[in-house]
Amino acid sequence: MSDLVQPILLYIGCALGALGVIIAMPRRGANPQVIGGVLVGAALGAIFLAMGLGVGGSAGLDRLPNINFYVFSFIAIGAALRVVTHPRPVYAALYFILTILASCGLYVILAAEFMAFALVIVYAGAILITYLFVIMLATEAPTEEEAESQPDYDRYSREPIGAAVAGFVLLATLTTLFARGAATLESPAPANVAVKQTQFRPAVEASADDGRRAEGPILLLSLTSDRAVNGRVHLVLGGKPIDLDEETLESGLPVSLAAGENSIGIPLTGVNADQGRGADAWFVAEPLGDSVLAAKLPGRIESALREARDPSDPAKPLVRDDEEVVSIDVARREAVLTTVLDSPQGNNSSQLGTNRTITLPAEFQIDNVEGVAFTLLDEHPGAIEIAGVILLMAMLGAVVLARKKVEMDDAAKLAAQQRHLVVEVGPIVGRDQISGGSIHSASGGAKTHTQSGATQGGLA
Amino acid sequence: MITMLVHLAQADYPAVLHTGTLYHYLVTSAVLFVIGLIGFITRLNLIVMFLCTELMFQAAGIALIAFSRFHLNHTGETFVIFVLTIAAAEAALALALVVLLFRRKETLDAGAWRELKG
Repeated sequence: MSDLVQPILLYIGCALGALGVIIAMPRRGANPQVIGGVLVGAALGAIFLAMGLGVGGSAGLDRLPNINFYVFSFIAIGAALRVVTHPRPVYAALYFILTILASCGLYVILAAEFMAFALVIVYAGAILITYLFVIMLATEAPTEEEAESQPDYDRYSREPIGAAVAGFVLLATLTTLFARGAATLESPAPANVAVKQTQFRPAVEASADDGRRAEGPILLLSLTSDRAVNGRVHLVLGGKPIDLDEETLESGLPVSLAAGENSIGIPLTGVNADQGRGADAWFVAEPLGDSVLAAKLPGRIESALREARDPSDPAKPLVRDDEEVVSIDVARREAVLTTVLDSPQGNNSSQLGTNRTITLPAEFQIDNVEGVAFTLLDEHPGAIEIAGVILLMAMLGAVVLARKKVEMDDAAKLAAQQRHLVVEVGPIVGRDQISGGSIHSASGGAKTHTQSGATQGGLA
Repeated sequence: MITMLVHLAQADYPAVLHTGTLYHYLVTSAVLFVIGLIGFITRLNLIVMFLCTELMFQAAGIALIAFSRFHLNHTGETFVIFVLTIAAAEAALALALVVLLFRRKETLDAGAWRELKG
């Protein structure tokens, strides 16, 4: 059923969206932008519903994103629609800032905190301010009698129907292609604890005839991994997450996977085979490179150890005040501590130099900023250089362009005169002579403007 | 219905924040890209046309971040930094050009530059 409904919904959504965009585009005569907006909203609703049908499947709600995703997506796309359709460029720029902020929300959901804040600072803070300045510089001041009117090029749009149809045919193609693979996409991993999932293929088979742990069916997880990885298995049965421990999971927790095919058997106690078939399981990998990267930051590990609490007694710190970290083995997640001489409790000489081995706290890992920095500096140093050079050249180019002296065209001069703006012909001619022949229209502009008016009349 | 609402509202917040699948982010990104594309074709104002290219950059950024999240590495995020760099360079150059063109013809209409052939 959903095989049939889903693509139809997708296509209906795309058609509605195209219709809405066409209606919302600025044009001559009546311009019912609200209707267009409502239509695009309905189209988005249809597309997201179709996506929910495609992704949900038997795994149900666990594969759907939470409500934040929908809110941010709707705001981002609605604001983008206003950017495209708003007749005033200043408002378009302000709506673009709204799009940026909403997509920053999406970035945060995707555990990319650094990029979210960098985007707010760079895009909304710097680039859009440049746009606003240019809009202010390059917009004609309305004369008094036409204070409310917009220039023609803001009031009309070019080929809205053709563009919208082409765009939404492209969108329909893309979403259909995405939908083909959506059923095989991995289940969600918790993002707020900053662990990530890996290539994963659950093959759920319940078999009651396993002799060793006879009480229930066994959930067989088949995991395909492209590299060796450690992680945890999460299990949801009937909508409720189930705690797995070393007893239930044969290979213990966390699970170590070798590269290639792995299979893990989880006995489901107190569950019959039919219920077992409804179980959903996923594997959340600990980021592999983290231990290698963390080894480069010994000071960071030590401060994390100082802040950590004892897992057995949250009131006590993991590292006592009178202890010092001697060595840290990140790969084995262990640290060796020793007691220091001149501590308040160090009067007891028998404890001097006592070594103690503790395991690193489980939540300790490389955070987002450190991960991005390591990737940037370790893997793409050349790209940073190129980006810097591009920025420098763009800055130089902008300076050169801004210093260039430009004369108005004859036609533009005439138009300006017709708008009763004060055009002082004399100084302009003088500047033409100073700037020499560097601008091709300069020779034409240097002639008397009565002649230019005559040529303009001839052109018209 | 109630359980669905509870699920959507993340009542079990510390446990699992559902990210959804890659599919959702790719579709959001595709919609943003298509809207930017339509705007670039239809609008006549040069500044709004450049704003629409920024919209398309933004769509690419969402797709890159989503790939980065679902492929377990930070490469996508670092590439968003480069997208940001290119957007900044493009804004600087393109806006300088727009000001230049505006001083020449006193209009932001892209159609005013029809005579540029070649």
